[in-house]
Amino acid sequence: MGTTEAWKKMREVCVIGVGLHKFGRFPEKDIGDLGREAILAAFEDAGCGPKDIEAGFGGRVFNGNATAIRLISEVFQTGILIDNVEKACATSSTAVRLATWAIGAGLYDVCLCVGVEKMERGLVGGVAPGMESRASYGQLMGLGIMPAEYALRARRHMYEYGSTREMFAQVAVKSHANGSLNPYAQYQTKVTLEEVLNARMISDPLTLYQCSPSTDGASAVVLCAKEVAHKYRGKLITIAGWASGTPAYTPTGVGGDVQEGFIAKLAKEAYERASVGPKDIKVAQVHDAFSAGEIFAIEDLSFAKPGEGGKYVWEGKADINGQVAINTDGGLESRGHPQGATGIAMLVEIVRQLRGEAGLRQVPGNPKIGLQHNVGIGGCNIFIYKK
Amino acid sequence: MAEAVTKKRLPIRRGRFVVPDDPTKEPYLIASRCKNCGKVFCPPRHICLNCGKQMMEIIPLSGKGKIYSYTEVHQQLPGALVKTPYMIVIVSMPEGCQVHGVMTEKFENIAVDSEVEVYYEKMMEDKDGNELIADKFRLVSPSKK
Repeated sequence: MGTTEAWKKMREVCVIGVGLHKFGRFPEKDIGDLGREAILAAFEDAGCGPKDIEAGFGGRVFNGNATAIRLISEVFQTGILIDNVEKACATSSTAVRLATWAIGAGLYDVCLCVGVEKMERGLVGGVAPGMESRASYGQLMGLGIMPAEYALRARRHMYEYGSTREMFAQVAVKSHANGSLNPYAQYQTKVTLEEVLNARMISDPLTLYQCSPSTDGASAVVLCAKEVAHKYRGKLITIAGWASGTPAYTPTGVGGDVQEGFIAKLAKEAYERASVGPKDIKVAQVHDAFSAGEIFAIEDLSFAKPGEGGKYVWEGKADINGQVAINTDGGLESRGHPQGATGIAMLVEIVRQLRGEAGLRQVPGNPKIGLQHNVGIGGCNIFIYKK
Repeated sequence: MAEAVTKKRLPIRRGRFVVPDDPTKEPYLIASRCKNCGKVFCPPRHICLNCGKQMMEIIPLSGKGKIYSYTEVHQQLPGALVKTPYMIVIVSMPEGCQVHGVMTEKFENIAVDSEVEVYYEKMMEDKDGNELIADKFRLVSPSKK
């Protein structure tokens, strides 16, 4: 398609500064407090400030109206374009892609992206008290709940490939071990396989520890054209390739974001654009909203063959010292999943790993190429980063 | 049965199944089939995703199918009328589409390829006392696997 040729003509875009507000529960803070801290951290990291930013992109999933405008206005109000973005769990990676396009096309040199969320406890997608008359069929009948989406595909995976509930549980063991090494993670406690398997069942075979929590948090990134990056002190990480798309939509919301074969096709496109293959990837942040999601991603991204993702995790190949270190910051399950902030948080971790700034969870061997896979209802964004 | 004459059975939400006006007739799940290319869609839609034509006809589904996948849900969705534990199932229908539904009874022994059939149950009443019904699935026979 035409997009491949257009991509080749685009300017190279790189990350020069990243920042997070710690993930967790912060009832005393509002989204402005969370976003401000992440933006200021990204500015500090990049060595830039409000006067450098030519456009802003960002958002939030729940009550998302004008979120990006509000967050950026916490720090500065210089009259630049600010676009609000929403794409469920892929919201802030979508903001990054829009900024990448805008810079790549030569419209701007430097852009700021920000994502935030403050979440209620419990399942998302339910009916608020008093709103029953507006509930959909799926809501009334308990269909279309997110852990069940992943559980249904997990159950089918078990049937088709013989993967086991222990393999899905091992994803959570690994993510919690990684999260225990990340001071920004919501959960910094290790769990054993037995603890994961014996935890409260949410949607069989997925137990509590295999489900991402509800989280408050914020993330921010400064992107710039590579040709002007020398003006800033931030250590450059280049966006070497990306691919994004929207799978089939279903009115019940069932199955759309885990459609078979769809993400594998996007991954191939991203690898081609970045002129790399799955074997070149040393660190990856993938969408483990539920543990099974990491196993599907391992297969979709061709780190393992279809059906062998469970075995891949079980054998330690996704560990920090494995073949591809996956979800090194604890992933969505342990770092936390403030939906609007997750996409940029994945980027932040890849950047820290490629810069060698990941502390106790640093992937050994000086990793040079990393991959991000962020899935939401409405689409998937894959980015490949190089140093 | 004077009451049955005045109080109707109505679908809790429209578009998924049809309740015949004749109370002696059973409700049935519906899909749409493209008259141009034959592709079947559930839930029904107006424009064919296969050929793009707007030539859909509503067809009844037999209501019997095989389990494609399933999960037993233990976390209550706020506001849902179905209470945990229950099973969410994806049922492959012989008409060539899949239906997502729930099982609320005797689902302990279901497996992929188990044969299930639809039935209808009163979920609540509206302000006029009409029964608002929804579809559920139940096991036809244990899986031979």
